[in-house]
Amino acid sequence: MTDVRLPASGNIVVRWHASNAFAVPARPTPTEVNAGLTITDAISWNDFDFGVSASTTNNDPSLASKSNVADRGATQYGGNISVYLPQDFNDSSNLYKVVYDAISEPRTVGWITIQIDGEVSENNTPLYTGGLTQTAVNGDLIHVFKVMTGAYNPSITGEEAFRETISLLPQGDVYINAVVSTSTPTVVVTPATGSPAAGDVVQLAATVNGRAFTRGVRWTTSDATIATVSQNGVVTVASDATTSDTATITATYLGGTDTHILTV
Amino acid sequence: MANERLYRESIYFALAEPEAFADRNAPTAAELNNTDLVYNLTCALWEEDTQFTLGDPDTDDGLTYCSKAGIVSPTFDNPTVVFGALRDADRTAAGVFNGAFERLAFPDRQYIAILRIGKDSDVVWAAGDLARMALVATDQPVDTLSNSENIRIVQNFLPKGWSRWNLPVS
Repeated sequence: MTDVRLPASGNIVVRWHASNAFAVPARPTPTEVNAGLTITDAISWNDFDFGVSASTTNNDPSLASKSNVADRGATQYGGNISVYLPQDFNDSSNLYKVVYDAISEPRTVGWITIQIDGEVSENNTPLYTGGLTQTAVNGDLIHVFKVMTGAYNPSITGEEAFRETISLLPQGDVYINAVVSTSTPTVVVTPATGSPAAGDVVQLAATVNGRAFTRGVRWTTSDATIATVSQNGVVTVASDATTSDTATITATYLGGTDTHILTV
Repeated sequence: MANERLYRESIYFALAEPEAFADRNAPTAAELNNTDLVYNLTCALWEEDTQFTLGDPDTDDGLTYCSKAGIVSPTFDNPTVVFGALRDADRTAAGVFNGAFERLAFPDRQYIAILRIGKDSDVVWAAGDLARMALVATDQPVDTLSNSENIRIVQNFLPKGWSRWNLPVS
C-alpha cells in the first residue's frame, strides 16, 4: 500500500549520545546509534521544538538575473526538549532519572539523533517490510545534531507532571537524512550501462545501503564533452557526441561509489 | 456556463529537472508530460504548508524632473515556493509521498517548480495551458512535528534567478 500518512505521535525515535559517540557522524554505524540513550519516552510534546529550520540566506543575483537569487547560508538547528522529571531522583530503573542524569548539567556537549523514517514498530517487528524499528539498522535514515545543553526552565506548577525544558544549542555539526552504515556505504547506480543517442537526456537512479538516494549522492562525469550529469542524476549527452563515445558517470556518497557506463 | 467559479481539485504542482526543457521560456506539452523528468507531487502536498506565489517585486521608485506622479518600476521578481509534503508510513513504498520526500530531502538540488491552476492534477498538459514556473534550489528540509498531526517535510526553496508566470504551453 502506498501513500499512507504517518502520524507524528509514536513515529519518532530520539536518542542522546556522548560527545565522542561517533567515529564518522555523517554516517553513524548501527552499533553507535543503538549505544545511545533512547529518550523518546522521556520527552513531552509540550515545549518540544527541536530540529532543523530554514537556513540563513544571502541574496546575490548576478548581472544577468531578472528574478531574485538567494544562496543558502549556514544550516540552522536547535531548540527545546522538555523531559519529565523522575518521581525519585535515586531510582535508576526510572528512565526519566537516567535521561535527567545524562543532560542535567548545563554546558554538556553531546549528540541528539532523530529518526523520522516511516512507521515505528513498538516490538521491533516492522509493520511494513523493511520498516523502522526501535533498533537502528544499516540503511536507516537519521538526523545527527551536535548540541550543548543551555537553558533549564522547570515546569513545576499546576496539575501536569513536572518537566524540565532544556534548550539545546547548536554546535556547528549536523547531518540531515544521513544513512546509518555498518561500514563504507554501498552505492548502487541503475541502470549500470546505457546506450543513449547524441542529445538524449536520461535520468539515472542511485541507492545507498538499499535506500532511494538519487539526490543525496554526488554525481560526476568522466568526460563533460561527451555527457554532463546534474546533481539530480540527469545525464545530458552532448549533441555532437559520436557513435562509440564513452563516458563514465559516477555516484559517490561518503566513500562509497558506483558507476554508469554510457556508450553513445 | 457563465460566471462559474473554479473550486478544489483544479491544481497541479510539479518539480521538473532543469534539463526537461529545450527552452524553458517556451515549454511544450510533450516536455511537461515527460514523467521521467517532470514529477507531479500534487497529491503529497499539504495545503497549509505549501506556497507558490509571486511576491511584490523589488522596485525603483525614483522620479525624473518631469514626473507628475510617483513611478514604481519593478526590478527583481520575487517568487516564493514552499512545498510541504506528507511522509509515508511505509518508507519503501513506491508512491508519491516517498517520491516527494526523495526530491525534497536534500539541500542544494535545483528544480523548476511548476504550478498549473485550472485543471485536475492528473490531467495531462495540453497546448494552451498556462504554467507558472520558477527555477529554485532546495534548502535543508524541515520536519514538521506536532502532536495529533501527520509528519510532513517542508522545503523552503531558494529562488535562483528565473521565473515565468502564466507562460502559455505550446
